[in-house]
Amino acid sequence: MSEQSEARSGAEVAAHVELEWALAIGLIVALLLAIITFTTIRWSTMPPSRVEVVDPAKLHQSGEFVESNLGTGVDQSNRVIVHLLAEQYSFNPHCLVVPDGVSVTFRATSADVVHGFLILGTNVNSMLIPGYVSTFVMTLNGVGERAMPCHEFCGVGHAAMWAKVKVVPLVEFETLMREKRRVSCV
Amino acid sequence: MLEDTPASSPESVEAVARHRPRGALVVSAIAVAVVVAIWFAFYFLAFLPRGFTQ
Repeated sequence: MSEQSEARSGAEVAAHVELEWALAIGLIVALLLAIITFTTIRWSTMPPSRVEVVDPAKLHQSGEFVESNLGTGVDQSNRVIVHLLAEQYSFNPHCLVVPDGVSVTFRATSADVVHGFLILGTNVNSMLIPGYVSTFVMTLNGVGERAMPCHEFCGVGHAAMWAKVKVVPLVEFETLMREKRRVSCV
Repeated sequence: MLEDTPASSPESVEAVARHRPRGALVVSAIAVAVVVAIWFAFYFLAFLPRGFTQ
């Protein structure tokens, strides 16, 4: 190989190495795209969340974000769903109850300006944009309380916009759900 | 000797350029491997466990 290199000019060697490098990078990019394509098709993965619109002026009148529907509930197919509304400068409800180790679907939106939805110590992190519903699925593991601050600057009261999430054992959650249609720890 | 073949002479540059740049390839490969490893870590340890809309 060194003999071949000797026979080539410097420019030829450089061109050859550049071609090899371009091919290697091309293969890496193709691998990453293949992984994204596979997970997209296999699990219907898409960036959280899909575009789903809602009229922010009518949230309190009808639809899933009316006050009586906020908090944690269980739907017909036995999925745990949390409905959350953010407004200057509080979350409603400002204390969420979710079961430990169970997949929870969060559906949240904003009634006024852009807010942030973050549960500390977990992978839950989303923007809440007026007019759009942010949806994603998450399992919280470990009983206890977690802080839930707004992490998008939303006005003068932003720093005081905190809520908390209480992760309770499944048995306790089921007991709470038997008593009420929607639960929270407000 | 330095006067015979100064480092910047076309002949000495050509003599260096004729060799395959192994050192540069190794450094570049390590840099790319680090970036790709971070991408994999984020994708499989943060993005996918985060869940998705069904």
